[in-house]
Amino acid sequence: MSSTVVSTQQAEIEETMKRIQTHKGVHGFVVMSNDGSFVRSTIDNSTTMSLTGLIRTLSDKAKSCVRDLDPQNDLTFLRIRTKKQEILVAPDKDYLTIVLQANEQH
Amino acid sequence: MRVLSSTLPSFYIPNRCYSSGATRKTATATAPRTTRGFPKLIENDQDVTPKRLIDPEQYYNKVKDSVLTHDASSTPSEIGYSTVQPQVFSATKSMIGLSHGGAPNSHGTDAESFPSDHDNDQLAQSDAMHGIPDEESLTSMDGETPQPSLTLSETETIFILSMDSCIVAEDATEVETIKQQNERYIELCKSRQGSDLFNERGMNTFNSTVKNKEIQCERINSQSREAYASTADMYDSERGESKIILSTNTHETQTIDDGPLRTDATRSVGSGIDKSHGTRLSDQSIDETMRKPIVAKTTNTETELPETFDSSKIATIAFVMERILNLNTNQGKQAVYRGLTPLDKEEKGITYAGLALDKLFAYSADITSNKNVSALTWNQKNPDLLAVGYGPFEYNDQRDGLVCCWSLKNQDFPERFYHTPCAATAVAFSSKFPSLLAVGLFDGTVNVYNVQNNNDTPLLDTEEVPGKHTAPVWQLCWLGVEKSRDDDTGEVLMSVSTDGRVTQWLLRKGFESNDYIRLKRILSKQTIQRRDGGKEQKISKSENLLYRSSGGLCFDICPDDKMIYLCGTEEGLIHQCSLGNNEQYLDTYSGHSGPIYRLAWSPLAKGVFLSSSADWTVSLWVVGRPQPCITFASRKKPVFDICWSPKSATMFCCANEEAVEVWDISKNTLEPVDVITAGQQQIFTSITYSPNSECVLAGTNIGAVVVYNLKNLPEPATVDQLMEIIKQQTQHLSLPEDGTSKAIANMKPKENIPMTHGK
Repeated sequence: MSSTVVSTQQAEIEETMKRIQTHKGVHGFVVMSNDGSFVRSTIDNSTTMSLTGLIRTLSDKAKSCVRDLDPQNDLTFLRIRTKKQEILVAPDKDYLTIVLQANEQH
Repeated sequence: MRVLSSTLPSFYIPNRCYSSGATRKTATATAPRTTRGFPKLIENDQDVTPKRLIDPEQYYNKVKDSVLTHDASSTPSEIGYSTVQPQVFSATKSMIGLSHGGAPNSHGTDAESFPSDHDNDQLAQSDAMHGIPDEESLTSMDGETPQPSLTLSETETIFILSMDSCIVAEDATEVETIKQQNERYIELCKSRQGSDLFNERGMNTFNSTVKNKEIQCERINSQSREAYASTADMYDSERGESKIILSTNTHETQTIDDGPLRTDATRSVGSGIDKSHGTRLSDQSIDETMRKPIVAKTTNTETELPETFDSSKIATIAFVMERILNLNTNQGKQAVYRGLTPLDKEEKGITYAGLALDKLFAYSADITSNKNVSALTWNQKNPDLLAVGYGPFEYNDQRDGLVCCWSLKNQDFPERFYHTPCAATAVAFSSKFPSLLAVGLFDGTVNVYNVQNNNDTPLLDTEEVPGKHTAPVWQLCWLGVEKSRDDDTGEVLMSVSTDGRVTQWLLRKGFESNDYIRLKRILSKQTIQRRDGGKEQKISKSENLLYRSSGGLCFDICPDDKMIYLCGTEEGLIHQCSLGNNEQYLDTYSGHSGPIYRLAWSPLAKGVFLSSSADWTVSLWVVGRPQPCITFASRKKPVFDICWSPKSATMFCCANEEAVEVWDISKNTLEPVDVITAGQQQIFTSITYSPNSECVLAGTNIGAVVVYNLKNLPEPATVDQLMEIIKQQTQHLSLPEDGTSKAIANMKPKENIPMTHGK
């Protein structure tokens, strides 16, 4: 029973990921695991590699910063808005998700 | 006097005695050898006695010769160096001899005694303690055969000659003699130079040969380890979750190779922590303001990525990410919904003069496309959560139905969706248990879902219950009641259906139903005469015989008096009933000529309610008046739904087939204040106000729920204004106000009542 639950859940998450990828303005979507390898990526390999390495560093630094200020706190989300796009980083226990979204030009 | 001494430690060997003087040389040279009852070690019939590291005989002979011919001028160390060949090693069982390789030589000379402050005229010549290597090899064999235990320690100082000085007080008795002795001694010393009594002679000791030995051990590697304990790490370790370890390979290389920059250290420690355990420093899960989906498992599969990547692990991240994306794209709209100023200041170009409806966004997804929105309801606890029932109204177009829960944070996909076997026609959230959602279906079943999970199977349903409705359930409502039994939940579900029953459902082990009332089709004289002008009573009787019950389409419970409720029927009558009375109507309101689709009590004004009907009109009623006070009609289309504004007593919205209209009674009773007309393809089927925002949500038949923002709202009107207007309007009708009558067949004087129609 649990396996079917997991598989439906997996299917739902897959669908969610698909929706994320096709969301308005999204350039790229990367999921990387803690050991630095990436699991899912919609951008080319070289960019992904550099992105994962750099973002991982930054995310860890931000996380340690937040936790140093208050150990009971934790980092839930990180957003970097640049001139060209916006980088959304969501850290998790095992994985790190990065989404690149174009800035909304109103 | 020259003092010659040596300070070598002495070794105590039992059963040895030494005498001073030259005789020792030979005596000791031989003594060790003869008295050395060196135990022979026999093992396996082999003589395994350890061999001596140095052949003592060779050494002794040489030493003996050299010493005997010793001359004060030569240094025995030269002799030592020339004669001693230290490399006479034979393989012994123990290689400790190696380390003692230097020992024989260092023990080459031995001093018996030493140190007293006074002089020794003759130094005890020392001889090689050749026994010692033997002894040491003896001890090195421990473990093979029990050997006599040997203690090596420093012997006591043996004083051969000791002449202590002593101190005598000046007034002692012997002072004189002592002084004389001292003087004599001094004179003796002075006269020593040229005297014949004394002969000077030099002495020397042997200096042992020095041999250098080198050993080499395995290279001792040193590594520097560092860990940086941040506040967070200290907190974690206090809680027993410390993850600081220094033993990962990657970590080592980083601390060795990288420079000791603090950031690097942090990174290495941080990543070392992560890599080693694969977990983050904190085990607190991500806080969510929304209800969370099922928490992902944490099995860490890093081996083959695409195959075994379990996407349920990133469930929470995906959830959050989607919402953030939505927020990014729709920030303006969401801000307007919330009543905040949107970030972009640029004006759209359309300025609204008066009250206006401005489309914000629409809740719509692929799964809801082309589905008719039949019901809308808000969650009691979370005012952003909207439940939408999808299903066609008509009988001949039945398909699977759908119920979705939408949230403001995600416009493109519902939070929950439940497929139902047939069209959903009514939805209602419970107030006591905010996660329970009751859904009424076209076939009369009532399902109760728990919205905490996305399970299609309802928690409870009335499939098997004997009191099940046999016709579509058009409206549902949760009521709080007194608990009559202990296992009651304190809440009941009330439903109305076309089979003419208003039923109460108790949620005990399953559903239990009680009928509140059976809607009997009655045609009061008043009604007949009004509608048909001259129909006879007997027709009504025959109608009564044929169709006992009339189908109920809607109901609404009076907000002031929970026992009273209104029920609208298919034939256009509104019955006022009491929950306690299941036989009779308290009152009946007639005025509509078509089925009543929706009833709504005014949330602000007491005793005022609206009804919308398929006869293209919306009517405003006051309790006690059997005729409508005001009637609103603007289009020639049935009005599916109406909704009072929660803030303003004179405003309400209605959903025609072709338009959403906002009416403000205080401004104009003939025309709506603002109208949004539907596009070609869609019709509006339901409408509701948002509880926490100045927005109106309208459901269409193509599956979208469109959110309109009300702009330029006027001051909310008060109840008094409403009553004022009603009074004005009703003065046209010369009916005396009679607010307390509750009889069924209320015989009021009839007059020609000009209806205040717009068109």
